[in-house]
Amino acid sequence: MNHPTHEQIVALKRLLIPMADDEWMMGHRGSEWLALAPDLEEDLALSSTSQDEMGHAKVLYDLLHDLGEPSADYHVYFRPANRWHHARVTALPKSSWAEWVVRRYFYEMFDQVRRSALERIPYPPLVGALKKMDREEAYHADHARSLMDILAHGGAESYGYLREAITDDWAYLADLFEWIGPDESWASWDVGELAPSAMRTRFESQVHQDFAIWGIYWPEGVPLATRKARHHDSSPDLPALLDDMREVRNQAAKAHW
Amino acid sequence: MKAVEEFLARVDAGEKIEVRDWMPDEYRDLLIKQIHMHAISEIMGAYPEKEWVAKAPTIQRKMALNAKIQDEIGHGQMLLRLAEDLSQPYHRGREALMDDVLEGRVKFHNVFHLEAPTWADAGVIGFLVDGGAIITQAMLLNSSYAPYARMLKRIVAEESFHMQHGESVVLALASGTDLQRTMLQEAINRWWPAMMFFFGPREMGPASQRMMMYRIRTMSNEELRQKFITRYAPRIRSLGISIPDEALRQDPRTGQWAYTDPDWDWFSHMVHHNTGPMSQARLGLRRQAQVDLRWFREASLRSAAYHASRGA
Repeated sequence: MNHPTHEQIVALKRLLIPMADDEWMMGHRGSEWLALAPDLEEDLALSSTSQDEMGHAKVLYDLLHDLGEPSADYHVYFRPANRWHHARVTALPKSSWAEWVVRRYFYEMFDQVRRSALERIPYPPLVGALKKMDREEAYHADHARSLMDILAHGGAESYGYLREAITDDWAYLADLFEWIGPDESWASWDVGELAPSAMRTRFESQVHQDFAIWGIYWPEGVPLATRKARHHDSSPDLPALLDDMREVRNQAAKAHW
Repeated sequence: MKAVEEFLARVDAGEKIEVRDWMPDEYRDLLIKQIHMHAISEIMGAYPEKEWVAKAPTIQRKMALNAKIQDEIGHGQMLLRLAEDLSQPYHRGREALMDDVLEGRVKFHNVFHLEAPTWADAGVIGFLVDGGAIITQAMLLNSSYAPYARMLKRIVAEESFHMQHGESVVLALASGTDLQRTMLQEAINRWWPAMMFFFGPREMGPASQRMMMYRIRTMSNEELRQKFITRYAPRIRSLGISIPDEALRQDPRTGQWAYTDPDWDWFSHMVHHNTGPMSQARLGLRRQAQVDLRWFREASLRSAAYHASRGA
């Protein structure tokens, strides 16, 4: 599929915009932890991860640009709030360190599942981009697991923070598994793994296994989302995030910065 | 006494000292003072810029600034490892060296106590502060303490990328709209007097003089400041930006620059007592990492012990 049809282009956009936006938000929120991690080594790992995530978002926005979308900078600096399609958990305001560790872990586990599904779409530019990302994301996933392990085996205080953060984030996980647009739009590729229910099952299986190792109570399955989960017509946190992120750019929107 | 004289003769002859070599206590203490302050300044330098990562006006600028701050933290981490090695006889490790800044036992550079209220400040910090740091650190490449000199090779190489990034931001603003140029001029007005203080007083204090004697450093404060002005005054003026010092002029005969003294007392008091406009806010951020998240470092040790006990 070197030259996708109009329908395929629409379908690719519905799959890639959510992923690009998730990666951007994880990178953006991650960068807020710069110089605030518990030790310097962790700070270095964390800032590296944030850069990777923003870089992946840029790669995906560039792929979208090749499919007829506006530029990467437009997507970040000018797109209206109701045209962002990240899962809300990725953009939640900065909270506690334990919450960030838990958020990163859930996201990395989900992202593995999503990338392996997307890699089955026979669009070479996408497959090539995902292969490159895989190399970096493998480190992200290992690192996220290692931080969870510290929380789980680090004593009563850290275990308490871990339980609290899981409870806080669990309710937001549902949105991750939704795409935008109807399932029929990508049905022609016959990739069953793209179905939200399939992604949720694979994610739950991995997380359930990890929780058993860490002695964490399984809070039952991830709740189901509505099909509009990734639409942000009234997301409470998004306008403030966009205003902050665009504060400088908005001072002279068309200028060279 | 004879050992100290022989040591001085070695450094005078240009020999380099390694961590396991015998060294006078004074030499060790001066190195710890210098490297500890350098390390902490790298770390505290992350705070004025970090707030601009979230607001950076393009994707490229955002990623570059994020990378720059990561480098600064990395420099701090590498330098602290040197300070930790040197501090072994005093049984002072990472935790103690990091706590020192919160408890006022180590200073950090004057520039990081100041406000950085606009995006132009993020650019000017790279342009002038990193540019100034390169001048100081290039001098330290000749330091008699070999581990410091080796580490500075890498640090200076990275700082030059930071300076180029800062310069690129400054150039974009200088060639931009009236609003951007005004933003840049105001940032230069804010940072120039601080940069005059950056290199230290005209007459060096006793500790700096002893560092010269031990060849830990090899140039005077004034030599470094003159080098900075020679490099930056023409560059700033070529952008059509004025330098906020009416007394600034170069003697065509000697090449030396005359300049208005910064308010030495004000800056000095600020650095010694953390009384700058942003000193306490930035220390507050450092405290979040060092104190509020101490539990995580402790949890990390307990988790490692748990795995060790299970033979993992």
